[in-house]
Amino acid sequence: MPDTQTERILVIGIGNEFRRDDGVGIAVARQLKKILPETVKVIEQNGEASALMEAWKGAEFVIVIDAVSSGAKPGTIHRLSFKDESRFKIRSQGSTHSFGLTEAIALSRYLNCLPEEGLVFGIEGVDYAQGSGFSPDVLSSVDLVVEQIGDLLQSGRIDPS
Amino acid sequence: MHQENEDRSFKVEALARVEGEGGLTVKMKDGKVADVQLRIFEPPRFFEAFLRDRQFTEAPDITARICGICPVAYQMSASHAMEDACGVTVGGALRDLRRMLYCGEWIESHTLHVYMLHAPDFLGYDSGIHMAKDFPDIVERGLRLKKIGNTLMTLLGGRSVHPVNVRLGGFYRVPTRSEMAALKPDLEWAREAALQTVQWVAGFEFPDFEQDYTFVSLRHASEYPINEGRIVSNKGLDIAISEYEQHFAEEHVAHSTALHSRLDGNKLYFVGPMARYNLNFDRLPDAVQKAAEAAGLRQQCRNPFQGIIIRSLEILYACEESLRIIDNYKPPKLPSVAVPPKDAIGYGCTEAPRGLLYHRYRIEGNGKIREAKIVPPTSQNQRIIEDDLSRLIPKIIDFPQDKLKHRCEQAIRNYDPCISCSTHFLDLKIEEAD
Repeated sequence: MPDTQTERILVIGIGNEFRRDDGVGIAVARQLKKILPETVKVIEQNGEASALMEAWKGAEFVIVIDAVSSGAKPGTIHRLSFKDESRFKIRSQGSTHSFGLTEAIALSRYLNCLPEEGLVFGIEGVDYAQGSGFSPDVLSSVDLVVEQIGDLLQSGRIDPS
Repeated sequence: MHQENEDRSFKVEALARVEGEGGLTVKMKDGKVADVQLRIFEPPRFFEAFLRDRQFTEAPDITARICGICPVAYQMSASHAMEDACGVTVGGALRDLRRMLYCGEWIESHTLHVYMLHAPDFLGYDSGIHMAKDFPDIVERGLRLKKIGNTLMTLLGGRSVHPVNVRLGGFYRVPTRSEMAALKPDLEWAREAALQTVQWVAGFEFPDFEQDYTFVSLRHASEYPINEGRIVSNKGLDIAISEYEQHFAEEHVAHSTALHSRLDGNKLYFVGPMARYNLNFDRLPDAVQKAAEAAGLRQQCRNPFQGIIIRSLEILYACEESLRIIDNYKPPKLPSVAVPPKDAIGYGCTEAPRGLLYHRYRIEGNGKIREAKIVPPTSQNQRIIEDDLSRLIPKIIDFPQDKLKHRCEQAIRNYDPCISCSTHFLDLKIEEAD
């Protein structure tokens, strides 16, 4: 099968598995890798913007899973489309240490390399201390998000084969 | 927020577009600058303390973690210091590969700063992302250039962030000739893009702000300094790396978790690309000297706002130098030379993207680190940044507050400060009561 087709759908788990809830995107990606057909590329990233842009260049449909800190109840699953411009606020006043997913989406939009469709599954975290393991609410969301993404890819709207 | 318009004191709570977390406080009294504090509040890192008792071979990998933008600088200063302690010199192709790995870091770090952090100041944007909206082709060029720096680091360092392939005495694995040759097309493109970068930034408007700086950098007998040389200044300093602490001292100040540095008593000094350029213009290849001339720079440049041109020239240099190394490359027989431990003190000093990075270690014959000292470039530049601001503000005191603040931030960004690197903490002594 040509590369272009196998990489049409890309799943990216973002996070740091050694900072507790921040690693939830990585955990979801690892589970998805076990259950999704090989035609879906599943990768792990630390969230740095230029690496994200590089990864999704040329992909048609991208699913990103990342921990979110919005003040919502821990474990809440936020679902956002890349197109939803108003929900991704660029932190222009941050340092380069906060050059991440939001910035990658904005920059890709301006540089005309945003995937046709992109979906972010944000899981509200609460504990970002050093160490591994998730807080209980976040842990119970892992399976839910895996299931939702699995369903989405099998629903026919997005054809993984 | 500080108030009273008539005294015009102000605070920038969190500086944007720098590496790490810091702020700025400017206190004015009777229309004059009373105090300028570059506040570094990122927590201290304790690296020097937790190097103690670790094996000397671990220093390059542990210290690389100090910075995600300049890990190679830490690996190189640490390796050189340990090799100095053990009486080992790394030469030939291994030396060249180290130089090229460092070039990759210069390309990556400088390009990020020039395009995404500093250029928006000159063009009136809040960020590189906002700038991309109007200048997509330019930002795209910057991102591709940065990526080529990453590619160099990936081939030589094993990966682009926190490389894992560096060891004392050389590398774990060295590239084949064909792997090196495969980088050439990208680097040739990068050389052209770097030249365009120089031309692009040379067209910016620069505030009139020349100062009589004391520049400090390495100087090597024949090459533009990266890994080796003597420590020199434009005011007569010319010392071996091992004499660093006889001339430079660090002190703790209340408003910063980064130590402040002084030269010979209480002198201010300036490290980084502009210092390297001023002290080593004659070591740049013709093509880079010509590009500097075409950009309107003389051999001496004392306007820190023009640092963006010099950083761009160093990107060009790093591309030229990498291409030269690739053309001469013959893989060494072994990827590293042996570095047996000795009971000794070793010194290492290299040119990080932001300037002089000094390491000193005392190790035991069994390889245990007894003592470590690390002086990163940003802590050395803190005082000169504050000094620049106290000289700049009186000139622009009539600017509206927003513009005044912005110009101050721009002046800080002239130094590409890496706050994460610079945070230290005082030695902590716990005395037990009887």
